[in-house]
Amino acid sequence: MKRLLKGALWTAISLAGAAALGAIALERDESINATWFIVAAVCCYLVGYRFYSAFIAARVMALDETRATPAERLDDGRDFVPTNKWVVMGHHFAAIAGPGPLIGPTLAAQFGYLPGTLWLIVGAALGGAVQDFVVLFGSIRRNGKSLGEMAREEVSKVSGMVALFAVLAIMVILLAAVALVVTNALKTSPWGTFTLAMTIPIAVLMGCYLRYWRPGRVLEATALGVALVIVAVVAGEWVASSPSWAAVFTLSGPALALAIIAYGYAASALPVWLLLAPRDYLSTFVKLGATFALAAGILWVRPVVHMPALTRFTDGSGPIFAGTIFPFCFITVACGAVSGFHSLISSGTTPKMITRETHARMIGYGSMLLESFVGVMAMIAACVLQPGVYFAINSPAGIAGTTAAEAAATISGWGFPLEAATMDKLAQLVGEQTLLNRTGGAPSLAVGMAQIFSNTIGGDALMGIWYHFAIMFEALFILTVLDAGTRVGRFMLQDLLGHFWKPFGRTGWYPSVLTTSALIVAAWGYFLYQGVRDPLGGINTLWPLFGIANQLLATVALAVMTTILIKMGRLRFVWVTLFPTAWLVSVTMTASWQKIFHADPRIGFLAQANDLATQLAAGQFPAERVAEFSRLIFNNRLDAVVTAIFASLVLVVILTAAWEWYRILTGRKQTVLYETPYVMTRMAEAD
Amino acid sequence: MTNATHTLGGRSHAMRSIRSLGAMSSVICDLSFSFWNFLREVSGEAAYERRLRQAPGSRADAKAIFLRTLEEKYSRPCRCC
Repeated sequence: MKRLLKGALWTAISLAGAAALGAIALERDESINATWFIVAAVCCYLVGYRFYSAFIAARVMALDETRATPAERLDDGRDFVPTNKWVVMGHHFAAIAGPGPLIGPTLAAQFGYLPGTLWLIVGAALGGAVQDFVVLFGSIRRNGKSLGEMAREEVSKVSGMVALFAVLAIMVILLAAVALVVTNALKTSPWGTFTLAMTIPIAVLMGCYLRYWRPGRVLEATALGVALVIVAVVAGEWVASSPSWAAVFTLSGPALALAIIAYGYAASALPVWLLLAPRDYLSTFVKLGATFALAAGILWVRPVVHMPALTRFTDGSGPIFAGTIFPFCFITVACGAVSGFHSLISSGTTPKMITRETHARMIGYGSMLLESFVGVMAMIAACVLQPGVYFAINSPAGIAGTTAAEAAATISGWGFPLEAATMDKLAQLVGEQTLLNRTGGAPSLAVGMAQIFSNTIGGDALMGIWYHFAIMFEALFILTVLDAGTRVGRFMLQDLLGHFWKPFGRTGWYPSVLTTSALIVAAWGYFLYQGVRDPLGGINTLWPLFGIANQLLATVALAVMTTILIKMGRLRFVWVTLFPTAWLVSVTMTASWQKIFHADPRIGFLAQANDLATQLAAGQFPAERVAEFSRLIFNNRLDAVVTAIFASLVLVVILTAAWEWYRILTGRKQTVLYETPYVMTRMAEAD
Repeated sequence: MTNATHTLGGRSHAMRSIRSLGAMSSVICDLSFSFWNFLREVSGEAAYERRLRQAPGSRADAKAIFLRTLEEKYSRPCRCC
């Protein structure tokens, strides 16, 4: 009877999910309610978790709950600590949840809500969650070894080197891309700039509180910090309305970029307790709270989604980024669907905290589904905007125009009615000078979130506060990714350079700290600055580069795990990792090819460089702008080279992995699996 | 008789309401306490206290342990895209 009821329940969930997916996929003429998205996502995630992850756990990887994990065997109270599974999930989710699932879906909404939403749901369930889960399992069985170490041992030294390089490359591009998002969100916004600037002294105050007065009292310090940040958000309105103070905090894009570069350098080089750690506490709790509030707001308000399922820009002529759905939708929505960066977390601290192998299912697979759900909510928040407003905010000046009248005329011509007065009124409502050409996704997401929050509490009167709260929340944890990422990049570079000159490898030696921090910051700072100066909108360039780099790393992770599955004798289940690998290879290779060689200058780097070079040779630019356009030509060619390097690395990984598979399957190589030997657990199952 | 029964019945209904209110408050308290502990674990505060208990010492030692915990955490990839 119980089995019958369970069967009936899961049938009902599956049918509800299918119905919701059908509704959002087939509805064309009328606006659709956001509840359909929530139902579709939740039902698909439940089915995926209950059946697919259970199949992977039981049949593919054969998780063994009697096997002692490294947390138990190597328990040292520092790195290896057996931890309650809910706490591990909290740590893991806090680590993987970044700005990517908020920004990517917002940008991909230019195709309409359908492609991005389907990719978020299906990609996460069949690709991203599988990657996180299998890598976590692989690392647990290898004493918490990193992805690079697993790649070197199980595949080849070349794969290990590629993994290391891919991590550094993705770090640089990721930091540049998210820094550009923040720059575009805050430029010419005194309210937003003031609020974010205040988080620096607030974080320093928290750091001193924890260091000198109450060491370890993280929640107390965080409560203090959150209260002060809210005061800063409210005080920002006063700053914006004061002519003298507004002038101080109104920064252009390039000025803001330089300020963020200086901040990144300082945060990486300064002691971790002073700035980085307190910012991290602040951003983690604000992020979790805001995400929960957004989910609650969407369920309460049940807003109508105004963006159509598919827009005309599926033809590749999109103003936000050029290119067709395949491959660019799948490159743009990376973190909420498949993210290689997660494999670093899954082979980082998490495997050292897990008490039971069987917990990996909830932590690895489940956390990624939650992250995907955050992406779905971001898609909803972007799509509740009127399409004309969405495009006016996200389109660069070079395409939509610089004034409200120009933007209204251009965007109405695209088939999305928009009046100039609408944008002026909206800017006034949220307390900004203008919302035009605020590319990068963050402002339009903030407007969408503000509309949902204000429909819950406060109405139009609080739109400004809600908008700047949303901007603050996004910018806060983007900057945390920035400083934590710069610091980790600095450590990796010190480790690498230490092989050539030992003193460089000493993480406490200040000349090394300052030099390597400068190198990492210079790398992402260069791409950030070129993005800020790009007249086509730097996101058009940087975000696809980031997506390609991220999915390169995912390819490495899945290729390594495919090798491990073959060595474990699980050949008939290897399609679980091989299909997502094949998909990612096709997406990244197609995207790379198009970004390098496409004839459309808005897509192909070389086409744009050649186009500009032709105009330069014909003397079509004023004399004072020749240097600027020469730099643009150089940047495009550099981006083409960077993309070619990423594409080559994907090929190297696949070819070396395929060679190993061939050698193992034909018996030309002895199968050696580098798992730790089985030891029975002594810990009772307490949860 | 009827009044007494009614009074007795009313009193026992009030007692039941008070008991159920008390039970609900207890559940809310338990949930709040669990959530607070969860936040302490995720923030690292509880882990720091455990390390302190394992290596008791002076206030200077406590600060040193706290700094070491932070250094270890932020030397690895711990914040994603």
